[in-house]
Amino acid sequence: MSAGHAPTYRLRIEYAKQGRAAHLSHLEVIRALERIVRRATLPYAISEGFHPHIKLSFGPALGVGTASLSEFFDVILKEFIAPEEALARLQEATTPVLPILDCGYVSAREPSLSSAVTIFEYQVNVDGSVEISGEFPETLEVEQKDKIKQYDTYSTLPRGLSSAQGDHETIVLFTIRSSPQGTLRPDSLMNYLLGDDVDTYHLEFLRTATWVEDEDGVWHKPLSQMDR
Amino acid sequence: MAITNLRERIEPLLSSIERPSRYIGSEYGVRTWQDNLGADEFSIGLCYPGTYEVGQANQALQILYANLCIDETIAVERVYLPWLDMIDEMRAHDIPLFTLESYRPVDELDILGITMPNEMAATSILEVLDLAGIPLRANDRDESHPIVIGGGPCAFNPEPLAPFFDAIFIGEGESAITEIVAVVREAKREGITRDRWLEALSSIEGIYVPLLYDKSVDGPIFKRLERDFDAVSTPGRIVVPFVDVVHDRCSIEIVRGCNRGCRFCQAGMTYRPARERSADTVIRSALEGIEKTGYDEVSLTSLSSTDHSQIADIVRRLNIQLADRAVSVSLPSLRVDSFSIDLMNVLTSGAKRPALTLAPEAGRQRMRDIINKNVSEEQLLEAVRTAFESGYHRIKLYFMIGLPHETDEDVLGIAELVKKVSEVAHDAIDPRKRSAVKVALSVSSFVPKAHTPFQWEAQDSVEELERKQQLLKDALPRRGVQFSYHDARTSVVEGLIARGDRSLASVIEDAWRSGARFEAYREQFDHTNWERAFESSSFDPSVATASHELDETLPWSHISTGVSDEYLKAEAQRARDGLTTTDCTFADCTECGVCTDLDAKPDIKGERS
Ligand code: SF4
Repeated sequence: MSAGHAPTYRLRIEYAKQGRAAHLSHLEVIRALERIVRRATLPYAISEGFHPHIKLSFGPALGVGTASLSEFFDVILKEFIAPEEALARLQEATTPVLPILDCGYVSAREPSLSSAVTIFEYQVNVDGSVEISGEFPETLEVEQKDKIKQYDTYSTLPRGLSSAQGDHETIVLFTIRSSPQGTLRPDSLMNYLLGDDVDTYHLEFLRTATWVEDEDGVWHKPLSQMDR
Repeated sequence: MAITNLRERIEPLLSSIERPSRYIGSEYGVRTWQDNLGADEFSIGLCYPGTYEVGQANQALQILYANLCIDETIAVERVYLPWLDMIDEMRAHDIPLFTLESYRPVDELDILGITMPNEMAATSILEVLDLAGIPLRANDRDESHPIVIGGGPCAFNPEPLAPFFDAIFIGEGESAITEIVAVVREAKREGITRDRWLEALSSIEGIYVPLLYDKSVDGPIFKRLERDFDAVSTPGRIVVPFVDVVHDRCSIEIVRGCNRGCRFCQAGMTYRPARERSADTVIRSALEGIEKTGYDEVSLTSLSSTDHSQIADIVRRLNIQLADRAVSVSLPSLRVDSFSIDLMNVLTSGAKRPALTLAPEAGRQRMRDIINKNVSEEQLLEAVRTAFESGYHRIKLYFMIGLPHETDEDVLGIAELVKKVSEVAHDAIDPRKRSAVKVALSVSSFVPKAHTPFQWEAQDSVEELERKQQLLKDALPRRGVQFSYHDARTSVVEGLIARGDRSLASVIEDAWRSGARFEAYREQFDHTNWERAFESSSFDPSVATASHELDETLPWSHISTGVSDEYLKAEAQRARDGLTTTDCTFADCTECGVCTDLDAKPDIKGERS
């Protein structure tokens, strides 16, 4: 907000990507969210210039095929509207596969979602009984986009990995920390864990939470109680 | 009857194919699968024989979908043809064609409506039936199969595809679709045989049942039309796709039909008379549409949008109403004149100018008179000047070759005209931007269509079309003009189907068996499939492209658009004489016959000028 301009408000919105929506690409989700904001007739601000558009910003992309219980995006409003009111309108305007969960205002000074959110929790369902070891070498070597990439295990998997092996399915839980050097992809990790057997299973990826890590290493939700 | 849900079998395939979002449904505005499974008494599927991206953009299907959904007691489902990778997976896993709403097998529907959007979709229609596990020919179906009903632009010559449909609907379907559902539903409830269902169906105005039809007894089948188009509400439910489909915007049909009378144009004859929606209706529908969908673009569609008598008022009012919302308004199918450019300028003020698209269709005045394209060179150049003076720097021009009575001079005339356009553009544009001027030229090949004044004319052979394409290419300036043209072999197949009779059905089937499908997608068309089909069915394609005698009985003579034969013949003669015919919505009635035959009249809200 620069001097001379009308004040604006940064509304952060939490949503989920569920059911068949797991198959949407990041771009398709972005387009759908913009239309939800328009249908909700929030007092959105419009950028100036040749192609006027709504000012939206998104967190790190979620891959095609991955569902999520909690994702965030920001929209800039030109008028204040009570968060409960905004939430009700957004919920009215959305589709069941992209439910709107929460919203609240965040300071314009806060860093963007795409740089602030660095911790991602995942759950992967494997449609078969497999034993998965939570033991890793100090350096993890995985194949990502046909290249071998190295990750420091302790930093990249800050909570290690746990799994529950059932008779017909296996659930794997892990948390990934991204760094400016790169982000371990959950499917690459599963390829590493399952090795050559990976193609014999059907995997379902679910992001269960995302976190912002502060200077002291404490994790916060991107939208806290205080923001409302 | 229990409904099969294929979800568990489809889901695992989605992670290994291109663009899985084509197959997930669940968009904003759809009937949910819960709603549809709740209504298990009667089901109808609406199918576009192409991919989701193209099919979901089809306005006619959108309208029918919305109308059907009003009745909550029926399941309304959409069906598209999966792309090649998905088809392979489905065949490998023995998964039949499914509906998007509730993933049920298409074969279990009560009615399957398939649109016939263009001739090149013929083989894809067979792919739909085969993938669904429905016998290709109506003759081979029994009470366990859906009633397969065709409709759409290609229904006006239904014969080449007639054996594959139980019924074909001719004309505008808004009110007919609910009648069709009611009749079939009632007939099925009574539990009578398939023949009786079809008999019941044939009583509906506009329905043609090939198996039961007898011309001498039944008389011609007149197209259905919505006489009071303004009163037909715009869709109350609009599906907003996740996928980036073609024309991904809110479309408001502002005029139906066009009476300009271009002699090559089938839509110009089949959708007569022209009927406008009033400015008030258009504006209300556009605003509602934008609010309901969240789209950032509204498109005012029709065959010739700038002909609407209140278009200036509509554009001005919409512009005021939509300011501050980052919503743009687009006007496709511009008339070739500076009035249209002025309107475009109002719409794009302050924004980047899009490429300007104009369709003079022919290069020389002589040829434009023959085809009745009432545009003069002065009008075209004036429009170009106005546009380039006001900030446009790209223009795309549409022309046709292979037109009746065409000489090489006419073909070369296109190059002449393009040079003039290019000069005017360079003169008019801000000199500093001169290097940005882009002129693109798209040249299609004339295909004679049923129900037009040119329905009797011969079609150029592949060799002749290719010779003319080369002739034109050589005459164009070497630089600054981008030239594209249609594949001549595709045009000839299009022509066969456009004017074919029932004997063509087995040729189409043979071509499909050879591997033809998705032929509307340029890179998927392979003429060798057709050559094999011609051979196996001993079919001589040159007979099909030849001219017809004026007194011959044409394969579509039992279908009536309301335009009289005498009128078409008179128009064919006027073309030969180089005489133009005026548009009755600008001047007097020229007695095409539609208004008397169908008890209709053009509905023009203001004064056209
Ligand atoms: S009958 Fe006359 S008024 Fe009616 S559409 Fe034809 S030319 Fe126009």
